[in-house]
Amino acid sequence: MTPLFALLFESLDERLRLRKPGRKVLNKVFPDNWSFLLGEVALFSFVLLVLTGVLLTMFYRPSTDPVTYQGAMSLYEGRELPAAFESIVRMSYDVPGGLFFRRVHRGASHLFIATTVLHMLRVLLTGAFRRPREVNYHVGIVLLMLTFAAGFTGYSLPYDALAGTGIRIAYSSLLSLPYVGEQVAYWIFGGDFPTGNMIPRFFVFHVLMIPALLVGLITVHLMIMVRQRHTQFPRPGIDGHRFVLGKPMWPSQFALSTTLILWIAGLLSAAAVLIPWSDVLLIGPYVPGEVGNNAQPDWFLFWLEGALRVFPPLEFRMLGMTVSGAFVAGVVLPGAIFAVLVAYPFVERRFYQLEGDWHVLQNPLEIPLRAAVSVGTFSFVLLLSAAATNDILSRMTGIPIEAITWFFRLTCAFVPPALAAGFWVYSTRRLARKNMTVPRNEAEASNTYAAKAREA
Amino acid sequence: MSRARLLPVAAWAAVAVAAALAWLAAGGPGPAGAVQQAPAEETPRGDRLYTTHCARCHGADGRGATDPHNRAPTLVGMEAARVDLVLRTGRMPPADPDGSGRGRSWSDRDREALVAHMTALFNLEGPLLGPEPGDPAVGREVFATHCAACHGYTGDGGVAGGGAIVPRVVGLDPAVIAQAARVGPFQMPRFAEGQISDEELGDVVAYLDEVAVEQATPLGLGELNPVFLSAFAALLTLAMILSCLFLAGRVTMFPDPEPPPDVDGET
Repeated sequence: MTPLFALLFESLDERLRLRKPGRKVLNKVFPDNWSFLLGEVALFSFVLLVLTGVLLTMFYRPSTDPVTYQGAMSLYEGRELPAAFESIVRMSYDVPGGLFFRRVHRGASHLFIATTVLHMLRVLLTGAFRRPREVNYHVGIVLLMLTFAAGFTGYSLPYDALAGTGIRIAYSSLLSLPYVGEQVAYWIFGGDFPTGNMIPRFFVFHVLMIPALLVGLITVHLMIMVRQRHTQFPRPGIDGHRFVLGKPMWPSQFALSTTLILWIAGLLSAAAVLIPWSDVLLIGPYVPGEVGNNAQPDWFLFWLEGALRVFPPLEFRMLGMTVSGAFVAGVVLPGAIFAVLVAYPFVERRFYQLEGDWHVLQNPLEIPLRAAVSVGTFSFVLLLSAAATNDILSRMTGIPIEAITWFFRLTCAFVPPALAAGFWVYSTRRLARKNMTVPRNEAEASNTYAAKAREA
Repeated sequence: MSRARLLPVAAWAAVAVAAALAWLAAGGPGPAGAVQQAPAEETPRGDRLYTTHCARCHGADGRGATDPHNRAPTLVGMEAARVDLVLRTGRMPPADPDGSGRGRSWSDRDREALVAHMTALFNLEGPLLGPEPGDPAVGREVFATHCAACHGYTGDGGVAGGGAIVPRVVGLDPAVIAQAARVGPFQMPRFAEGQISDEELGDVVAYLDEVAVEQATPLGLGELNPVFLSAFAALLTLAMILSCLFLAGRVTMFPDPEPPPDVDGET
């Protein structure tokens, strides 16, 4: 410590009593595993998103009112454009570094959502969600939904033709809600589509409400994690129920994390130079009523798009409401998937009558229900995502799109249950072959592990 | 293979996949280069090509036939633009005996000779010349209104149901764009002058030219459909996972338990 820094710290400590909590944070133990870095990557991507986002906010105009573009891009020079799209053109062509920061922002958003999803998968598969960490798991699920919401609103803000199409689909999905659809849609969009309110409101959602919620919940997420300590993978000779084996925050994890955030920034900068993440200028602004043949959302919403694409076009009346295929595919199905994620910790605990607290991670193949539910759910989501590319697949393979759509209808209906059943049978047999049972509490689990160690 | 040797392999594989994606995203193998329409003239080359590839169904006199096995239409008086387009798209001569499928792709020289020959022989309605490129800004608006519903944003192409494929229209000869709009080949509707004027066709050509030359990044990528972008997002995530593996330095997640250290010291 330099004397100046020591002086500053001393004077702050006298007033704020930092020494004790500070030492606790600096000694926080981080278990050493690559998959534990996924959440950190998500966090750092979020930091980069906020930094670049602040920069972009300076130049963005949240309005669809027509304005005349005057600038360096000849394709739009002197033409009337919606203000939001005009500001994107200006940012990309006339603001030095604007396009670069837009691309870093979009690239970081891909990384943010991808690592959030992978982090969630890691937690789900290895059982890091088990008591006492269900609370933090549920905070994480809300964070995941917020990342999707941030991604969608961010995708919409440029108001290019694809963005407008996406907003239109979201509006229609809201309309499909029985009884309250029109009111909810009116409530969020402030009128019939396309309204002058939607871009200003999406702007507020994207730069204020969602980031504020994200910052708040990430803080809660991290505080709970520090309070409850990390989970860890089983290590021979370590009583993981009572001790966490890992590196301290200072200096080991601090050095690792600093390397990581610099590495991410470098990777995203390189990617921004090489890959046109956010370029929408040739597509042009959204004109209501004009839709292109090749319209997809960003990848993290492929599963919703795929569900809308392959779900049969049914519509019936029941209890005085109209139920449409768009409602089932666009609202009920995603709701059910998130319901599975939310309910799973309780279901598992009830199903296997688990007891006590759990701190050591578990191979999902050693607990058949988890293997089956995770594989079933995520193969379903992946198949729906693939279904969102049915037009591109049709073009690439020459198979008519109708056949491809039917292929996805059948595979979405039968493959996930079949895979789930397959994993159930496989993991059950694997347990039997290894002469193991699903442990009811952590002591039993570590006994099994110790027994295996003795056999080995 | 050890991790140290696996990492460079993975890195090179990622580079190769990125390059392949870039190539695919840029439209794969490009269309034939732009050429001007040849005038009407009978040539030995055209005569040979017609006799070899067309006369069997359409007849030496080009009047076609109407028997159940051969429904070849008459060529006499047809628009040269339609004939040219049918040849360009590989529709004729058919790959399969029943007249379906995409056949050969003609070289520019052969196709021009054939069209010129047939124009002279069967009195085809004059060949359509490509319009002069106009204002891409207007072209983008015209394209969005009339073309994008089938040909997709930025002319990327798409599907039209029933196995019909809407071709990508970027980087084509201006003549083809004019021909397609005026003739309305296959499932495509025909656009009359009242809908899209000649000048506007030129604007569309200018817009599509702008799309064709767009190289937003050093990889030669233009604007990408979210589907192609998703592949790059996957690559980015993969790069990140490899970095995490490299930084954390331990891949094992569920190690097989090792025997506890032997305190009796047998080893």
